[in-house]
Amino acid sequence: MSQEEIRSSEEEYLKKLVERQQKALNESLEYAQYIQRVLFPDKDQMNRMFPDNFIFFSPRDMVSGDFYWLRQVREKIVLAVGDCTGHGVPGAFMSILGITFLNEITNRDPLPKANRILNSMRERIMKTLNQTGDKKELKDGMDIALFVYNQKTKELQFSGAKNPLYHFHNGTLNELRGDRMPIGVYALFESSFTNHTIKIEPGDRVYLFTDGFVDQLGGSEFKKFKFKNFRKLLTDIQPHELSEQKSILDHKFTEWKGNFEQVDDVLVIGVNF
Amino acid sequence: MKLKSFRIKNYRSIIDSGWCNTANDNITVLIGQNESGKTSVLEALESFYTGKISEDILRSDLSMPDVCCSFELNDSQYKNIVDINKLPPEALNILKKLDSISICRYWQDLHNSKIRIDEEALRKYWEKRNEEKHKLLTNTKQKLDDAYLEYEELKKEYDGMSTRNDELQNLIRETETGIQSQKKTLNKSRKNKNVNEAREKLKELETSLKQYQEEQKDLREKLKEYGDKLKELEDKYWLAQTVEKINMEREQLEQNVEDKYNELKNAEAQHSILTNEKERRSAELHVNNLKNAYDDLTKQLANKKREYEFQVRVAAMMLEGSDKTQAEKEVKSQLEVEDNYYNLETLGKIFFDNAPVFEFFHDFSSLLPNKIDLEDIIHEKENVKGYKAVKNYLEITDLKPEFFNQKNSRILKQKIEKLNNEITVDFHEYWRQNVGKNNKIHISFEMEHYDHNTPEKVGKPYIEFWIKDKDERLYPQQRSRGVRWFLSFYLELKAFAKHKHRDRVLLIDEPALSLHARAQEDVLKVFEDLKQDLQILYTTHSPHLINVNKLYRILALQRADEEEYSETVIFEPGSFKTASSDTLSPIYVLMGTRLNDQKFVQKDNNVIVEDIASYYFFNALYRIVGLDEDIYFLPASDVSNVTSLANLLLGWKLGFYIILGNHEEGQEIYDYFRHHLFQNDDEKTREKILIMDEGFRKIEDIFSTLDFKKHILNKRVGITEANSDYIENNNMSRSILGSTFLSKVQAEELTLEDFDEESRENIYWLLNNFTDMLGIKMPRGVKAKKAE
Repeated sequence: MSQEEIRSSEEEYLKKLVERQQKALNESLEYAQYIQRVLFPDKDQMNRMFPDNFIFFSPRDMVSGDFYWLRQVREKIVLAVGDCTGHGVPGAFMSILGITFLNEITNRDPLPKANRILNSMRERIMKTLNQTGDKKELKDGMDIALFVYNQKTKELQFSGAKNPLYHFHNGTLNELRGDRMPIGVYALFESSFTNHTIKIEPGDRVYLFTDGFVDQLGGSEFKKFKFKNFRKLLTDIQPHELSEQKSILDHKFTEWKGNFEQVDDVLVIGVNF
Repeated sequence: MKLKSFRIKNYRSIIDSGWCNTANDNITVLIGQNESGKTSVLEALESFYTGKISEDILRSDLSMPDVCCSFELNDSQYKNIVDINKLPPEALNILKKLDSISICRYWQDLHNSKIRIDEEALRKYWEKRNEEKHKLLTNTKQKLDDAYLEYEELKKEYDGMSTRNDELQNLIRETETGIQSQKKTLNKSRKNKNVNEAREKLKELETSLKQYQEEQKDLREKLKEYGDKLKELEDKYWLAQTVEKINMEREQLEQNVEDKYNELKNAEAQHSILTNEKERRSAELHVNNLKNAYDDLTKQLANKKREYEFQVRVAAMMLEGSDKTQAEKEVKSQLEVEDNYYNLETLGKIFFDNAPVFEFFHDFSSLLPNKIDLEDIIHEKENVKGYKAVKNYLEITDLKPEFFNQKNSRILKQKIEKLNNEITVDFHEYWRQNVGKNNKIHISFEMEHYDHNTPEKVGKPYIEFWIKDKDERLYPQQRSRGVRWFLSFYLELKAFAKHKHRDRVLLIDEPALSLHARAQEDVLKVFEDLKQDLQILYTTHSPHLINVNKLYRILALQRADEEEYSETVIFEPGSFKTASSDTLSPIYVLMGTRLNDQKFVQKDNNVIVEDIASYYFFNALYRIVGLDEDIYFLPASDVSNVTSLANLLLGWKLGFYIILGNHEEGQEIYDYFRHHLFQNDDEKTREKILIMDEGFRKIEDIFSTLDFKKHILNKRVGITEANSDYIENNNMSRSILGSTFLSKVQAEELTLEDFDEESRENIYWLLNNFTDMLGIKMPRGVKAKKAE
């Protein structure tokens, strides 16, 4: 065989090897994706608790560092949207931890307050990852927005680790800010997350989201979408039904992103009361 | 044999300590102010063991010290210690009944002391034996002396009579001769006028002869009688003479011994003041000669005393009727048996030799060196610096010097590494301090060989020690004083505890002075772990070295009055109430009460809590919320003792309330009182007893996890269990945590606003229920809201 033929043969072999490995990896990731999705609340469950809702979920990779979680304990419904450190496989592992801990913490009667759920989550993350605040430690954790809604009293408690909650009443936005600390260890000694309480009127809308949408690079100047634009966008789409809002958000996201790569997982959940 | 109690007389400030009991669980703590006599107690116990005292321990009246220790004794122990065949039967019976034995060391002068058994029954038995023997000897001697005198008197009379007999014999002879002559004269003078005269004279002579003969007859009877008596007394007489001779020899020897002793003492005194070397050598020689002479005389005296006793006892038997040979045989046999028996002094020595070894721990005397030559270890050169610490190290690791002869260096290195890891892991069981956040220290040794830099030792092996951490490798002497102390202490105690062939008592003066409070707790942990293997007595001022749940371990020392030279008095736990507050200050500091206004039990408003940790927390919460009513929290030693404490107050007619955690035992106590005191009336029970809400097993559970970490643990760590469970699972001291928390609150470093909403809610709820129960008001502005 000539040298050229040998080279060509080698290239062919390597190409097939890579293809095989890629295929195996994809299959593995597909299965992981399947498992992850099974852990998320399904559509029926979501619809039962919030008949009018949308979930705009666009993971960057096959498995996602963003997650959402839902549970009902008697008259109270808990909804959480989380964004774990990293995306892809590492983020997915963290999301599993997040979901597991939420299940553990809320498995009691009476249900703890929203901020205490986050406090407990943080303890679990710190314990699991052996975090003590040492400078050399990896600061893995998650950002999360969580609310507890009492169907009887119509009271909504919100607590956020970095992520906010947007509440629309009669089309007017009321932002509840999350605390500037993650679920995990950070620079300062841990303090309690804030518990915000609001009254929900019929027709009110509440949005929980991760920062994937607002951090997406795009537009003509290759910039981030930013919170300001996101708030404006949500305000602008208030006249639309939630199902339409999802489409609008999807479209807007795609438009903004253009040909640029998706930077992070994107998750936006809207509920109508 | 375990040390049960001790008594010290005439040792520095201690005139008579009385019998002081050590703690049953082998750890005894001596507390008291400076100059109270704590160190003196330890030194006295060391002197008991070593026999050594110095001039400066003597009191001003120069009375000699006397230190007694009482040791536990059981059947199996004494059989292992003494040969029961060498004990007189009665002494054996006494010993069988004893559960302890007291041994005393008393000093005759600075350099001489003796051991005696201080057990009254045994002492009395031997005293009685000695008295009986003495009585026997005295009485027998008396009898012999009487016999001697009697014999002498009889002999005197006998001799008198014998002389008279001789005289009479002469008189009779003369009279008989006179009669014969007179008869002849009478025959010749029949025909003359002198015949009557002759007859008269004859008659006179015959009468005299008769008288003489009668007298002689009586006298001879008496002589026979006396002769028989003398014969009877003869043996006794000769015995008495023999005994008296020996007695006089003995007395002379006693005098000689005394004189020689005085001569020796004078010579020693002379020797001690000489400065000239030549004169000192000469005086020393003289002293040695005198010592030898004294020893010889003492031996001679002992032999003479024995001879005396033998003779007297033989005499005693002979006086009873035995013949000499039989008596001698029997007495010899008796003495052989008695010689075989222990006397009280020997018995004392035997028990002493089996009593625990007392060792005074001197910190830094066994400091691990940076390096030591292998040769010094093999040849046991004790005066080489660090030798003892190295010996302890090798002992703990079960290493013999031969270990280092391993030819294969790889195997040797592997073995050394394994040992280093093992000892480090073991050390970490006790030393919880880190260098920095998580950096634990490692103790290790390596074997090296001297190189050309040390030409006189080139090629010779030595062992080098290191205390490493993740970042540095330092010699022991480069480490902090605290680490060095603890290491020295750890090595000594571990090695000490390995000597199982004889019990040991470790005396430690002010341990861990240079250690952080937490490290002091580590020291206490070492004590707790080693208490099965040895007894420990230590002095301290630090509350961190006292286990507040084991106050029975404490002996409190103080001066009898405020005079500088007043005697030391020792208080056992039962009599603490008579000790001064200053003396008991470590306990008070531990219990978080101020010295001046410490109050415990009052007529009313006594609130019983489960334990001392609860006491601290409740006091802190009470203060934080701003309650100022007179409430007296009373800690039980444990939740199981709450009932007893309550019953005690009930008996004393003192008002009380109880706060319990939400757990099974708490519920049982609640039910107990509800049933026995409140006739199953729940409402009445709740007026007196408060059980905390569900989820609050212990008082510390009312804090949110965050506040618990921030204000009580001072630690950033993930905690997913209840606060009380976390403390338990991590072997932490609730009492120390509570005490520290209370201190912060008292120092106003913490206010209610420093706690988060969750903690505040729980605190309000608890204290609201508490104040309702006591019928007092919560401060204004404090809302009570039950935790969700």
